[in-house]
Amino acid sequence: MASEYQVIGSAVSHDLHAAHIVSGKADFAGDRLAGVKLYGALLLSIVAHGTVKNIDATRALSEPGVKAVITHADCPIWTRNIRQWGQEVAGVIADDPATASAATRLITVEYDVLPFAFDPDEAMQKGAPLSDVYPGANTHLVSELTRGDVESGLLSAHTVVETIQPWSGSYQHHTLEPHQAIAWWAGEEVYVWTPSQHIHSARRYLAAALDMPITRVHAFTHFTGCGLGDKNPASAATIAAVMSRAAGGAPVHFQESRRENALVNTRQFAVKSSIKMGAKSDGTLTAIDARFWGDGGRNPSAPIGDVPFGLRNTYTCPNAYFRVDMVNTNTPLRGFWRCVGDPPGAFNYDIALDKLAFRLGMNPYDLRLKNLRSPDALSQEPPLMVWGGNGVALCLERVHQESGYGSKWHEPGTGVQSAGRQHGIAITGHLDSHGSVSHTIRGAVLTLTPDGRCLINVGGARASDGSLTACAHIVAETLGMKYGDVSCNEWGNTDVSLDAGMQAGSTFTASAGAAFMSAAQDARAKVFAAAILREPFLSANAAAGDLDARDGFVFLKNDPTRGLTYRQVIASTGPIAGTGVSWSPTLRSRSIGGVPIGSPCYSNGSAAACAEVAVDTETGEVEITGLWNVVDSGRTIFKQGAVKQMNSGCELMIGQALYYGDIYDRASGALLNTSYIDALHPTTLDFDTGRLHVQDVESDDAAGPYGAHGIGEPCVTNYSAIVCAIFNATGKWVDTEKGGCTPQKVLKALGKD
Amino acid sequence: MSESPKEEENRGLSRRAFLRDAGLIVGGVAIGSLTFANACKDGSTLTGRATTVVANRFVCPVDGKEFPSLEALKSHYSSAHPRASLPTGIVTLSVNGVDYTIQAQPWWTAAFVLRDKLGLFGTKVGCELGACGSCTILSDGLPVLACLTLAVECQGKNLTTIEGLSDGITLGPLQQKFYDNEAFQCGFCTPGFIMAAQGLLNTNPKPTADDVRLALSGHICTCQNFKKTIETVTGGV
Repeated sequence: MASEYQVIGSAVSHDLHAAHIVSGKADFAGDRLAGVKLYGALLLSIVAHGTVKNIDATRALSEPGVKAVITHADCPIWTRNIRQWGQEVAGVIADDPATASAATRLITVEYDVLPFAFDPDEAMQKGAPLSDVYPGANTHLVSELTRGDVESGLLSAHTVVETIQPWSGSYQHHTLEPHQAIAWWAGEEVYVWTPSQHIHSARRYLAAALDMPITRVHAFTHFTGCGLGDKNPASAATIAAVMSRAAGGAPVHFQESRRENALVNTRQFAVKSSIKMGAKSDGTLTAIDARFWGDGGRNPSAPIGDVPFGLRNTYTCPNAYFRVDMVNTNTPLRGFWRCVGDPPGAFNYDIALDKLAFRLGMNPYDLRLKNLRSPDALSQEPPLMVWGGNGVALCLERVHQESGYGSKWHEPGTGVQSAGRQHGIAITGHLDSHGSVSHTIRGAVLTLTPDGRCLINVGGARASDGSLTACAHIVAETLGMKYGDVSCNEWGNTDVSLDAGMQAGSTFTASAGAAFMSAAQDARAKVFAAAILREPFLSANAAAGDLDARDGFVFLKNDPTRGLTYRQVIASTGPIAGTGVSWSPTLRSRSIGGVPIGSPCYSNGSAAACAEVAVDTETGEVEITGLWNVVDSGRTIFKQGAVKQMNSGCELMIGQALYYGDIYDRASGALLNTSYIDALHPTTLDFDTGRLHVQDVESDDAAGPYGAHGIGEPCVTNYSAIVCAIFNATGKWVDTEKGGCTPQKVLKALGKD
Repeated sequence: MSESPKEEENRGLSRRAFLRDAGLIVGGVAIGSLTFANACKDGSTLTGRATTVVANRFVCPVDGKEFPSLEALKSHYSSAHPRASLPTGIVTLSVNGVDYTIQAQPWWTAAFVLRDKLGLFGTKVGCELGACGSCTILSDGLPVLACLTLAVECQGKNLTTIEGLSDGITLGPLQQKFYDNEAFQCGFCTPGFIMAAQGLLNTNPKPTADDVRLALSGHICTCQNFKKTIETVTGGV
């Protein structure tokens, strides 16, 4: 466990940039304001489907303070083809934000309006208006997979339950730091500061959009606010660059308003499902027929393919059919949100499992445990690979123990606490496709300095996941240095860093961490090679393999009192650079299931949640009386960061279960709740954070650096647990159509609407 | 600020209308446009740092022509001087103990001035609607939302931003506690939370968890990490 390490897993190490944040010195992209005198604002479409026929910006351009107006003619990522209400149509650049915003209302736009596809069920019907998002149709097959013989498996089952879930809600991130960028030009070169979860990808996106050589595109990020998946695309950066170009290359700060933020960026997609599960009387699964539909909005390549991942891989079932179809409608873009496709898929199959358990007369926990795949099992379909680590069983057992579930569970609807108040409890578990070491090679650079310190240069942002600090932990551990002697002095600068990967899908700790481990090994080898040429190693005829390092001191393994400090070694060599690359997921630390070390493997995230609720059957209000989350980290690198991530996952999923949901006007296709006033987010008064209990467990992922993988994704299981707990409390399934379990929906489920 | 019956009688304009008309008329709010104030005043006296001007005359600040109503003045102004800059206010803001004298448009918020004009970017802008709390600063020790506070309203107030809680090198006690407890995630909401917490501690040095939850209930954190924040502020520093 963590105690065998000097640095990683420490409970007391702090975020590298903690002082920046609490002192107000953390420079988010929108804070790079030196020299900025121009500001941009957007005009968005008021039709859901059609074509921009004409744009008259004469009045806007005549306003004092307005410098320029841009349209699709200027901005390569805009189009005259409108596919959603609230799509970008034009932009104004002016002396201050208020002037720019006011001037947008002076632009006149003529549209050719077309019928729009809004409701995904209606969009799938023959004769429905085409959304024109995907060529020729509103629906297309995304993936299909068959395992064994589903029909036979269902026939051989003792019990078959079909669970049909209506369309879930779509959830926009409403990230507190609005999407934005500051851009300027120097000749033919563009410079952009922007929040980003993958700044190197943003740079490539910009270069492609502007049709420029990448060497002339300079993209930077430092602190990125709340990247839960929608800060991957670089649209704000591109718009800012175009605005600046229109203003003669002067620096322009383009910050999306709350309304624009909600409309033009991606959100999690809604999913509908029909899942048939067959099981023997003892709960052994015999067949699964799972069909999912995802509403991709106006994104023809929305990432809904991962929806069945958890169901496919968490539980053993020899006969299974999985199908995913995408429906495209004239509604906003869909994309990542605290995971890819896993959240809605996980929710849907967790409901299906609980319904099956109820029909079998089983405790849902027992049903899950019975069918969990063994940690060293091969995958159930080609390519047949083992998991680097699969901690779902470990997480389920631990959360069962911590929550006291065994003594608290009761049959659904029987937990009466007091008059009008029902108790409920549920456990769910989740294996997701993330936490994986990226299949794309990532790079890392670090420098050992003459004062005996290490500076890491990270090609990524300081984001909410704490992954930059995790990289520093990995470097310190590998070098045998004190954590306090490792700094990150340069990060997010695409001009001088290697691509460290995407800070999403919980991949960064594993992929960039692997690259930094490799870089630190490179530097350590160079230090040892230099050290053995000096006393006391020279007279001991020591080879590099006879050395070790700890707390910045290089010593002989057989005599730890004899050695040199890093500072002393580097005094003779000058600064030493270390470079490294990540590796594709392969078994590194142990053989699993007979598969030898070095074999390709998967590396995933896993977690389990137990939710305990009290439902007021008179008001429909749901009180979270306890939420336990156990997450398998593989190896916890930055302990305090991991705890924060887990807490965050709990709180976020409470929001999803009880509050979140986009609200649309059907007649126009307009998204109505675009600000915090009407897009509900929980506040400090909405639940008692003292009732959240999180814990990390370490399954020692055989693929990641020091056995680590990411942990930010599998918290989605908290959402399932809360909804299942409400069922356990009331004996009724709340309709989660288009959003969370609001009091109105709970009352409706109870027949009290 | 108290107003005489005459001032009250002559106040015919809401603050929002004043904003829209962008300095063409003064409505009992401290504004430092000396030139225009002199053009409009009716026997009022400029006193100290706070200037109260009563307006019942409508005089164009560009050509001095007088009009019988605000609407008539606006119509003249926009047609006769379409590209003229509107009168701007000279305001002196006391921020973190330092006085800054700037020329501010009447519609500039304190958040905009602090960040874009004074370089104090620790105050964040999350919504510009007063719904997220990110822009919280202290005005005479009490929390206010900088995105809803006009810069011109801040004349005469002692403003404190997140930068003002430290001496530039050493963290202030509350900041140190947030550091020690790692009570942040991405950090964007953190300055707003800290300032609101400081405002609470200014009046309640040993708050209970419920006191803290109530005081911070106007804040959004989309990383969704309230737990550490509440634990940090509870009990004070």
